[in-house]
Amino acid sequence: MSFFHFINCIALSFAPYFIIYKYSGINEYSSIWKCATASGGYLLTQLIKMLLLATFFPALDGEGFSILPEFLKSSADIVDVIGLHMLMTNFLAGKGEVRFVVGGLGWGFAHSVSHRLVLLWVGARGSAFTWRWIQTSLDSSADLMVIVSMACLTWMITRSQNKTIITPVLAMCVYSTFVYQSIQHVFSLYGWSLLAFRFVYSIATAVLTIIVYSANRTSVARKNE
Amino acid sequence: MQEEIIDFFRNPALFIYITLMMTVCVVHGSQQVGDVVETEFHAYRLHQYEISGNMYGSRNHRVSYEAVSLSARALRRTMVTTWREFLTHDVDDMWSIATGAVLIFIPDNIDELNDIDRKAFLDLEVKLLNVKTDLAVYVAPHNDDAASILHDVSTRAEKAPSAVQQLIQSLSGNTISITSSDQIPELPDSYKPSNVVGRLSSGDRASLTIAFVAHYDTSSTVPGISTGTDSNGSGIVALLELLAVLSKFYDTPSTRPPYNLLFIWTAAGKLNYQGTRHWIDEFQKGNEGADFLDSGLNRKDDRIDLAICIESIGRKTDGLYMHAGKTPSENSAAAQLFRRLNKIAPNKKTELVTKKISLTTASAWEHEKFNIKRMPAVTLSTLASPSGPARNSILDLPSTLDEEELMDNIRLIAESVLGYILGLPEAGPSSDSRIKSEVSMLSKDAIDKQRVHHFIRQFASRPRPVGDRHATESVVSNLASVAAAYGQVFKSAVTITDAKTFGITQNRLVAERVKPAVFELVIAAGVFGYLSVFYYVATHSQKSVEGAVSAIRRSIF
Repeated sequence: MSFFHFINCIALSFAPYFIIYKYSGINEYSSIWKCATASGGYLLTQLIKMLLLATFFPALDGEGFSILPEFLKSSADIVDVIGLHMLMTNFLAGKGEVRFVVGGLGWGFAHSVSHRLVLLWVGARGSAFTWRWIQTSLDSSADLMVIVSMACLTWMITRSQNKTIITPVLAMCVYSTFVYQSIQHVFSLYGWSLLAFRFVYSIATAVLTIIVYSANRTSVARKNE
Repeated sequence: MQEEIIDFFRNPALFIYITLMMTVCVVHGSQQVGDVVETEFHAYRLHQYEISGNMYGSRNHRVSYEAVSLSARALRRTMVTTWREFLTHDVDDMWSIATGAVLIFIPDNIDELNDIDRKAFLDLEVKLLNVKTDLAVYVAPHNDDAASILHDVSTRAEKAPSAVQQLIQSLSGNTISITSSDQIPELPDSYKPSNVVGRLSSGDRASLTIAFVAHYDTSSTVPGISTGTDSNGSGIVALLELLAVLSKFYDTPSTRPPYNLLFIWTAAGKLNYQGTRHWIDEFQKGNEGADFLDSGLNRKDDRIDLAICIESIGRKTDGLYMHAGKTPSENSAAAQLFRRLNKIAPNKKTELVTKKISLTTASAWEHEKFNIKRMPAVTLSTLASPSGPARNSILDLPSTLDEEELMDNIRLIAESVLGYILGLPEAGPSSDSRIKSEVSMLSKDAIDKQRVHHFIRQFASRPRPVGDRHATESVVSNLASVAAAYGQVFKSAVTITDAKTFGITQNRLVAERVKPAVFELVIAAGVFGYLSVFYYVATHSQKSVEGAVSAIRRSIF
């Protein structure tokens, strides 16, 4: 029974990535190998990020939560943007839209696996029942939206003139973890309410990304005219 | 150059390696906060022992059953209850259930119970005392976790008002499963608790021997929590202090009394005085020429003049009782000791209680083991009768011990024995009744308050049931090392015959909030529904995103 719960959680965490890859039409433009490359890029970037964190914030891994050090720590997530950019320009080929969706998908999948797989293996197989593992698995979908948005914005920021409109939305993506932590800490949100907030935040980011993308397309179209 | 570097990163083996490494790193770094669904607590098992082929107590120690309330009696369940509820329920038919467990929460501050509660608690012990059952019976101190467990169990026991609610509850309601997590091995057959014997020798071949005897183990219905401070912690302390005080007389040959003194701390006293019986057997064998070094006798012709067994002398009472098998004859050592005890402390009355010895049942007092083998022995105690709850109660805690009283009693015994072995006149220094003077062999501070206090802390404040191998061994080695400072010390392993002790006195229980197995199917349905929605969104995403983009372009920009 508890193993069944583990399977449920795994399906909830990782199946969305496969569904997106398989049924959103991406597989017609790109092979799964490209997604794997993106996953590899994610892991390499995390390694660099960890080295940076270990170098500059060695003593901050303590208990408690304070805004400024956490903010500075989250700023290391900017490395993610650089990594995504390198990945999309050097390792992925094809149309720009295909590149950022494939990059985001692979990136998000690796992110999800590294954050959840062992956690679920250790936790969800226990015989005690808790909603926590279901919530963790559902978070995976919210992360997917944020990461694909981040990939899209990263791709646009080097190719667009009006960076002023892209930068705040990109910051929303980069500092999402920081926002979640702060909200959790300040408003003592846990469990379902935190999950709901994460979904609202992710959907807002995604919608803003679409708006920014439209604006960008418009300006590109006008330039071409 | 740049191409080469990029080629290096395209190597799949690198990715696999990093994947493995990163997964471990990231997961160890991430922490989440969750509500508590699992709690772990120490529980103490009901006693289990065997005497003359009869098994008493709880014959099982494994728990892995769902928790139910006491009234919902069922096979393969853990009946969870508080001690008060347990007292008011008729549980006689419960003990016959073949598999399952019982968990009773007792107050966490048994030291501070008021008089009514103490009486009720003694009733609880009586109720548990003669239980023979296949259930695993545990007792645990009450705490917040216990309250939440009891709450869950009682809400589950209530019937829901409607059939639909009942169905929902049976699909998704919380149940608590209680599991024992420690895998403690049962005591090996080779396990033997040890007697500790301290000896003060007179150095004269012809001298007689006086033995002080006290068993050091504890027992109660729940051996894992009873400290047995009075019975027989006070006996351990008394013997140690007597050894410390009397050893001064044996320091130099000129002051040495013409008696050998033995101080025997015996094992497994609560199991029909196994240690005492073993020591007497060894002693008698030793007299016949076998190896008698172990028993603390180094001379073949050692003769026991009197064995003074000491048990429970730390309670506030107005006197001691001297228990004997029959009234001692006028000139015997026991009679002389009795007269001296009464003479030395006029404000304390020592009474003689005789009780015929039964050879068929378990001995009531320790001295009976000596009497059976025709050796003179008495027991000194503040208790008037061997039965009664005082000797085997969980409530026999350090707080019940009166240190002043214990010291007075030790002093009284020391003075009487000294008077006897030094041959001082029984009536005091003068037979003239007009001369009144306080005469004492011991200085005022001979019984050291600090030392007694330390002995109580070290030996009488922790559970030391014979079944707990670790506790028993540590008591034995501590006793031996303390006694070695004052006299010769011998240890000997005791073979337990016609009885058996069992090792598991406590266990760690884990209570987990679990859902019924069917609930997992409900979740699976939910996951399937969620993924279906995702599938729908994914198949329509391209169209809808493109539509949204063009709509925004047209309307806003």
